[in-house]
Amino acid sequence: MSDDDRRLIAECLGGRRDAFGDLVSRYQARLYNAALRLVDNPEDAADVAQDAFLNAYQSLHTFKGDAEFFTWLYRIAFNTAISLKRKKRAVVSLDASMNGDHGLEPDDPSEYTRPGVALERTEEEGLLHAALTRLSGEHRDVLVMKDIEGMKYEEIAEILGVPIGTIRSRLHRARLELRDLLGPRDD
Amino acid sequence: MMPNDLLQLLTAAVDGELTPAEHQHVRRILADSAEARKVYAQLLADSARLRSFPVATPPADFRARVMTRLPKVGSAPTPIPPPLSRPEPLVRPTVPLRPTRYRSWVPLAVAASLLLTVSAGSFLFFIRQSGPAVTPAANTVAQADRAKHPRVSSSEPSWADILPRDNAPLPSVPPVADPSATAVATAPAPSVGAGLTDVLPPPRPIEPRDVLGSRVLPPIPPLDLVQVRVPFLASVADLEREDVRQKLADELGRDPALRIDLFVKDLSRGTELFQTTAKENGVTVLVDATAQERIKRKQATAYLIYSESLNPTELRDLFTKLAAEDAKGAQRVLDAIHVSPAQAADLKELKEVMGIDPGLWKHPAHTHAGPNSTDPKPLSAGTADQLAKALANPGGKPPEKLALQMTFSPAPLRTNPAASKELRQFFDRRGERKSTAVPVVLVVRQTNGG
Repeated sequence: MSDDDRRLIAECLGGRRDAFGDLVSRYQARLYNAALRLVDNPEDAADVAQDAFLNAYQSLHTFKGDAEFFTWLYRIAFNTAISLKRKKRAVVSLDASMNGDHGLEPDDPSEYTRPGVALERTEEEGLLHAALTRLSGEHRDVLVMKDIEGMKYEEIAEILGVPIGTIRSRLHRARLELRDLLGPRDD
Repeated sequence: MMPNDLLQLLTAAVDGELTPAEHQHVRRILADSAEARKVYAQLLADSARLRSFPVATPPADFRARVMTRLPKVGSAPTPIPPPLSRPEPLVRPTVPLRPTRYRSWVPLAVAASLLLTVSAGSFLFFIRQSGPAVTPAANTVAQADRAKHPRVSSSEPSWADILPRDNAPLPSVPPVADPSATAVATAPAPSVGAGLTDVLPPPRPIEPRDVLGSRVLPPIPPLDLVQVRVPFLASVADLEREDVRQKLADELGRDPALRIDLFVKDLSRGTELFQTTAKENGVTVLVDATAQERIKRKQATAYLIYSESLNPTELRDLFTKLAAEDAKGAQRVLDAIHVSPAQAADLKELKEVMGIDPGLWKHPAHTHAGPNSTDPKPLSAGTADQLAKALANPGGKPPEKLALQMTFSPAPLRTNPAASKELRQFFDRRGERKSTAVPVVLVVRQTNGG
């Protein structure tokens, strides 16, 4: 953990709330981006990131400091995102069954799966987004953590609470699945 | 087809998580197998594509939102943090403190102690009040009596000095004070024997922590103020007031780019009024021909006007003039004005309407150093700029103030940017943006029910 983070956390625990504000400023963009890749919706991402910061503030005294602060923060955000997705999935399933729709709509109700929004993206970004959206949740999470967040196997394993070997094999399958979804490249 | 364990090695290589032995193994495989090299290259490329994913920006007020919500969820627990010099780990308290619970009963304890104090004080006060008035004569007698029988032991409690000695029934009316009396009845000073102080325990020190057994309250940290910015929203008619104009001017000068929504009751008349007023203020509004046609036919519901030629003062004057012109009519056309900083969504819309980003957040080139600049200024500094300006503007005329008006909504009625002659003219004529100018995305739109 960096000295700056350690100092800000200590000041925050000492009662200086502005120190926590500094932590928010430092990590808001990164956490928001990570949340956006997990929930795939800007509003939900902002909610997840905000809730993560608030939970972190309340639990700051439990932070042991043996990991990076962002890793700890990310784990909170990850759990928040997971519970949000579960809630949404339950609502969508209920709505689908009430409307008599079965399997015609995409599972992911996020904004990025709507045709209009997808068209506004660049082709490359759209392709990647589509592929990420179609990945299974398990594979998508590890790819986001590894490639977008640049985490190590060890950090991912700590966040997901699984052995490093599992992360390795899961990432292996995720990369192959992504490769299938993206298809062959011309270049 | 490559075996799975080999593929797994390649993906781990992409992740950069190989042991030295695995690394050597992978190098040999890549040297020997063309298929492995191809797969490895593809996986590397996929990873690079993911890493180059565009970075999204959180909402501008994200920090403010978080900080605003902090007080609602209570303060952070405040155990003593580990010293900064000790690197690892932070000590987790075995029994977590519960400051919220602790704080929750402190107000009750304080209130109860206050109530107790007031009750005791009232009791003592009324006890004194209800006793017989002690006249100077009685006081003298009492003193003589005490002189005869001095108290030498603690058997006579101090209550005796407080409670009335007289057993006579209490008078039904307050005794009339003797106006001639000058002496005041006073409680005698306690006469404690010298040896008694050795017997009695010393007075118990009163400490704040003894109040109902509570701990000393922790120092209250200074309150944080979170400034939440509220966009400017006012009736256009109110721009006749100096204070509203000042607020508008302040708002117009706060951001590098602005989004302004002007709500009008009649869109055609509102846009025509804007065009006329802008012209009177020296602004040339290039109206897209198709948009002009739609104004006449009343087809659109909103028009976008983009300008990057006006500074905040000129913008304020333009809207003030607009309000004044509107007031001259029999019935006001303009309704409300809403000013907010331009967001990414505004740029996106602007790009859709104009075809390209006109440089909403582009910083104009600085042509002059500030008055306090201490940078050395070479002899040729500014000369090239002045020469270029002179060549581009030989008559020395002030730069043209331009605005472009396009159809905004509904979206299907928008002009194809490539087909708009006025749009091309705008880009051809706009020139270099002044450093004081503020790009504005003005959307003139019909009010609901208008």
